[in-house]
Parts: sequence; C-alpha cells; structure tokens
Amino acid sequence: MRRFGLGRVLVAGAAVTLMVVGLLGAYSYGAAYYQHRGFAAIPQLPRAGTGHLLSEDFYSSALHRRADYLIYLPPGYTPQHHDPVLYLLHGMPGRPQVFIDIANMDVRLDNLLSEGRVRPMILVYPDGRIDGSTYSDSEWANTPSGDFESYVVEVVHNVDQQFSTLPERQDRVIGGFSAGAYGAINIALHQLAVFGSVQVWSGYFTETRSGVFAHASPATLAYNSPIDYVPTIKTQLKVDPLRVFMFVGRDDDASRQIVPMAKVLKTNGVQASYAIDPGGHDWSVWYPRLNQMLILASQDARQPLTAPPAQRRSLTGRRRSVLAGYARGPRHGGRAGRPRKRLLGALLLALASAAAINLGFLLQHRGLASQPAGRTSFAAALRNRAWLTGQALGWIGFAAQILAVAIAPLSLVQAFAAGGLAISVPLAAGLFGYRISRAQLLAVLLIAASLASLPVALSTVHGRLNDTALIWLVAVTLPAAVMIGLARVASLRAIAAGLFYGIADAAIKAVSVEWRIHGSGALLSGWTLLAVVATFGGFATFQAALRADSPVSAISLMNALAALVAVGFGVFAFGESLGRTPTAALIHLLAITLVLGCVPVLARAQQEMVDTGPLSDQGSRRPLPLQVDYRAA
Amino acid sequence: MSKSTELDPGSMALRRTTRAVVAALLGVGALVLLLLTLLSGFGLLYGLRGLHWLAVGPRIRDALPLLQLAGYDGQPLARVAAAWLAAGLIFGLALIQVSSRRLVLTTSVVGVLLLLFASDAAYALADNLRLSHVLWVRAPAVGPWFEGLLFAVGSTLPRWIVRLQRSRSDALIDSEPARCLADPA
Repeated sequence: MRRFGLGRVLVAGAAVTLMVVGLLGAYSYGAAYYQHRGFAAIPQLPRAGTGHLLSEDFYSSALHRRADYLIYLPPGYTPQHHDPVLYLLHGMPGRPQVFIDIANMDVRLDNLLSEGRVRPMILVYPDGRIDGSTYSDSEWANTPSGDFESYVVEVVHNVDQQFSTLPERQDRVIGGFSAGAYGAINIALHQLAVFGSVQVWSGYFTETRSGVFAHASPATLAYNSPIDYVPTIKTQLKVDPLRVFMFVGRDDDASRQIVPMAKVLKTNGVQASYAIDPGGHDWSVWYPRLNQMLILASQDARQPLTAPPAQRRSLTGRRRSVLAGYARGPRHGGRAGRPRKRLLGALLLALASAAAINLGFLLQHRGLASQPAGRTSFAAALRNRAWLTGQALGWIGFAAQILAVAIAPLSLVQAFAAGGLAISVPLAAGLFGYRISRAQLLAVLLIAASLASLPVALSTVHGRLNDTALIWLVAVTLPAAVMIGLARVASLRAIAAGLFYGIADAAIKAVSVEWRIHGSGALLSGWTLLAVVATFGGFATFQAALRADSPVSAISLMNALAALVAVGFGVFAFGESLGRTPTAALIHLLAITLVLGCVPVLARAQQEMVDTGPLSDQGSRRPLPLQVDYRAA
Repeated sequence: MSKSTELDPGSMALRRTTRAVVAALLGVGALVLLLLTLLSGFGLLYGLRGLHWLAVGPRIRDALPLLQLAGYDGQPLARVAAAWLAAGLIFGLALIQVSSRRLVLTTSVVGVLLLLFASDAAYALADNLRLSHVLWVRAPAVGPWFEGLLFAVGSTLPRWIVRLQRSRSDALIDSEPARCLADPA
C-alpha cells in the first residue's frame, strides 16, 4: 500500500487552500463586476447623513400586476417638507439596483447634500424588466410585452400620493442610460404634462423592427421615434416647455444621432444641450458624469420653464448664488439631527434590551428555583408566574435587540448590549434584596460613563452592506468558531460563543439592510439561515462553557468576543466608523474596552444572585423555551 | 503454472472501451481542473491587487479584464507573476503524474486559448458588444498571453522540484555509499 508522508499531505493541503482562496477571490472578482462594474464603491463623507432606500409596490393597471419601484428618500426627509424628484430609468439588460450598486446614487446624493452642492431631492428607480427578467428589453414603451410607459406615469402618481413631493412638472426630472435614456426622452415627450427636464445618457432616438417592436406597425415605430415626431408636437412644447441634456460616447453608434436630435429639439422650442465624451456605450462614459447629473437635476428642478432666455440667465445667476450659500454651511442643520437622535434611541434600545434579557433570565432561574422538588417539568414552569415573566422579558429583549441591530451601527450595539448588566444588576439587586458591593457600584458607574461617551461625535454612517466582505469575514470566522467550539476547553467554548453571536448579529444586520431594498423577501435570504445557525451555535457552545467553567469568565469572554467581532464586521462589512474623527473613534474604542472590562465584576454579581438556585445557564443572551428542560433532566 | 495471456476479441473490445472511457473521463477531469485553476489565478490576482509592496514592474494590460471600465485592468508585473505562477503550481501539483510535455501542451495551448477567450468575453460584456463580433475583430492585449506563459511555467515547477530532490538524494547516495550500506534505513 502506498504511504503518504506528512510532507505530501501538507503540500496537498496548501495547494487545496490556495485554490479555495483563489476561487473565493474569483467569486469576489465576478461579484465586483456584477455589482460595481469594477469601480470602487463611493465612500460616504464623514459629515454626510444617510437617507432611506425603500421598495414600494402597487397594483399597476398598465402591467395588469403588482409592480414595484425603488425610492431613495434623502437624509432629513420629512412629510412636512416637499422635495423634487429625479426618476432614473435603467438600461436593458438591467435592473433598478444598478443605480445603487454601480452608480452609488444614494451615497453621491448624501455627499453632495452634505457639501451643499445640491438641494434635497428624492430619487426613484422604476423597474422596466418584463416579468422581472434582467435580460428582458421593454424599451420602456407601450408594447404587447407590457405598457411600460404608462407604468412610469403610474409610478409618478404613486410617488406623489405616498411621499412628500413637489407636484409641478418643473419639479420632476427624468433620466436614464442606454435604453433607459431612450425611454426617458420618449416618455417625457409623450407626457409633457408630467416631466419638465430630461437627462439622456447615451440614448438613441429611433426605433426599428426588433425586440418588442418586432411586429410593430410603421405608425407605432414613428410614435416611438422621438427624432421623427418632435416636429409634430411643436405646439404642445410651447405650452409645456422642456429642458433636455444629452451626452454620448464618441465611439457609440448612437453618437451619430445626437447632433440631429439636438437640432430637431432646438428648432421646436426645447432648451436642448449636449456633449460628446470619449468612450463607447458603457459605464466608463456614464460614471464620471453621475455627480454632475445629480447637480444638474437639482438645478433644473424648480427652475421655471416658461421664462424667456434673458430672464433665465438672470435666474441661473441667482441660483448659483444660492448654491454658493449652501457651500458655506449645511442647509439642513435642523433636519440632519434626526438620524443621530434615531441612532441614539436605537442604542438606548440595545441597552434596555440587554437589561431585559439579563433580568428575564434571573427571573426564570428564580422561578424555577422556587418550584417544589419534583415539579420541574415544562408544564409546571408554565404555571410559574416568575418564570413566565422572565420568558416574556427575555423575548421582548431579544426582539428589541434585533430592532436595535437593524437601526444602529453593529459595532456600537454590541457595546451597549454588554453594558446592559449595568441596568439589570442594580434592578435585580433591588428586586431580590441583594447588596451591591463598592466594586460593583463602581463598575456600574464606569459603564454608565463609558456608554454616555459613545454618542459623542457619533458617526451616523452605517447600513451599507458589502456582501463580498461579509462573505469573506464569515468564511473565516464561522469555521474558526466551529473549530474552537469543538475543543473541550470551557474558555475556548465561551470564545466560540462570542464569535457565533457576533456572526448572528452581523447576519441580522444584513437581513435588515436587504429588507430596506427588497422588503420582506429579504427574510428568505441566506443571511437569515446564517443568523439562525449562528444563534444556535452560540447558544450551544455558551451553554457548554457555562456548565464547564465559572459563569463569570464565560459571560465576560463571550461578551468581549462578540463585541470584537461586531466592531470588525461593522467596520469592514457595513462601512461603519467608530467615530466621526480619529479622536472620537479612539475614545469610543476605549469606552467599549472599559465596558467589557467591567462585565466580569457585574457578571459575578449576577452569578451570586442566581446561586440561590441550582441553575447554571444564566447570562445567555437568547432565551429559548428548552432552557427549562435541563433541570428535569 | 502458466497463465494464458490471450484474450478473446470480446474481452479485448471491452478493455479498449473501458480504457477510452477512463481516458475521456480523465481528460474531462483535467479540463475542469484547468478551468478551476485558471479561475483561481484570476481570483488570486484580484486578491493581491491591494498589496502595494507587490506593485513592482510595468503594468500588464488586460490582466484583470473585468476591471477595464474602472481602469484597473492593468496590474503590475510582480502581482501578475505571483498569482499566475501560484495558479500554475496548483495545476502542476494536481497533475504531477502527467508528463511535463503534455502538461506544457495543455497549459500553453488550451490554457492560453481560454484566457484569450475570457479577455474578449470580458471586453464584450463591459462594452455591451456582441461576443462573436469582438472575437473576430479584437486582439487582446499582452495580459492573457503573459498570464498563460506564467501559468505554463508554474505548472512545470512541481516536477522540476521533484526531479531536483531525486537527483540530490541520488548524488548523496553516490557520495556516501559506506554510510548508506551501514544504515540501510
């Protein structure tokens, strides 16, 4: 029989590892193209606020089905304040998410707003896919494959009904790239009463008998060829004037149409301008102009369209001075404070949730300890008021923690969760008549001071999922947690539990980010499965650690590792920052360390309160009904 | 006792068929392995693209063709060499039983063809062009050629190392016959 030496096994292992690393890299390479077309994601400026990306759906009578669209509400959006809207149509093949994944329009808008270069504006991304297929091509027109032009108008009505928008045509800008650019100009010219300005990024202006127009009549083709029908709507264009900006790559076949189209538009009373850039028909042409398109849309919205050229020039000058005023300071100082308050609320929720979970466990243990010997079944526990209250508190705390993770930065939620002992221990001490020592009191005060310092110069940047980074982090951390958890050493099991809980929190955060974009469908993602698996992994390893060693060290180690993982995942996978400035980040890091340093002292206090009963699984953060069974066993 | 080596025609045909099937399966397996290692070559280079200390040498255009829109398709020579030699090494290790000649033939012909195709496919994808048109009219930059060469060199490294080790141990035995005889283990 052939023998394999250790050297060969090591070489083979190294080769397999290298190949797996390479294949993971290849996946990231492909994902980077699919999501960002190879461009690096736009970093959010430290002082920029974060808006909300929502997925809305409604019944579309044009498409005879429920149809949806994505909408980005700028930072500080309130129903009391009415904003203009930029409608952006994707190319074909394509999907609405390209404006978020590749173009980063939301981050760009946040940054431009923080710099005072644009006014607040709502971004809407309709979905022009036939039956949801990315590779379909509707041309955003009314064809036998679906009335997509009518659908866009329905989206406008739905947006005006659901959100606080400026309802005048001059406050609506429509744009798009490639087929979306064609759709934008075609729809705007058909629906003059709806849109006031158009942006055409590498668009074309004639339709031929192909795709959805394969069986179209000459009249239909003419009706959908703007370059042909613009002269026929000259009278309407006088009533509802239009402003058009077009650009195209020099090597793009459509570049030949741009000059004739601009000429036709101008001769028929449209304020048209255009540019021919280097490049072809791809994102290298569109990408450099994205900020400019947002600024242009912001300037065009609210700009009166009926003004004669001379008056318009003076208005442009006035508008420039207003924009210069924005640059001197943030215009929305009052509204910018709202996300910060929301985050603070979420962090307090994390603190309260952790306190509720800890208190809930204490009550459960007390309840079970008070049961007469032999009556420790689940049915008996259900009749125990203290146990039931503990369960209810635990589950409420768990739900609140999920909510806190969804709203606030992951890296800070974990620190606040660890600090929950500072509330639960004094509360429990009052309830159970426990005397708190000086050291424990000092720990409570130190935690309170540390947590109070965390909101200082708090960064509001969070909630952006870099799924490639998260997959990589999980690919490293999860096997590590499993390996460490399999070791029969209590402290290592506590460390593994911390890693599992950190992963679970990151997965919950990922689900919440996806939820904002895809709605409840995000629950069916792999992140949910990961959250469940990691939570159970954490629960199992933590229980094993508690049984084998001092609960105080187990709780402390678990919390420390969970916080460490949360900070790492928060920074690298969710683009979080520990503070707006390096000093603030350092203070926050120190505060988190101090909180974790105080955990053993308070965990000991909790342990002493629990020690009245024979139970040993206190401190676990996830309350599960099966916890009552071990006593009977 | 003597054994008959003669086989009936049916058994001979069965044996030939079995051999052909096994050879075909091995060929398919080698092709799959080639595809996977080529993919890992791109993946390793993509992973190394942030290492500034490896940014040595001229930029090899089209090394990461999917990053052309963002302008990062050209990568420094040292990074390209590190990634593609490693990928070739993996392929060579997996097929260490195959002769060097076959290995070089597979990597330099099939591997380079696949890399050239990948370059054109990435270009067509990024520029929204028809692949058949791009395959006819576009000559890829130096990237895929250079990557193919490094991959081929990398695939022969394991056999060279084994040969080197063998010749060293042979030389050792030749130079110390008395010691080897004394301690046969």
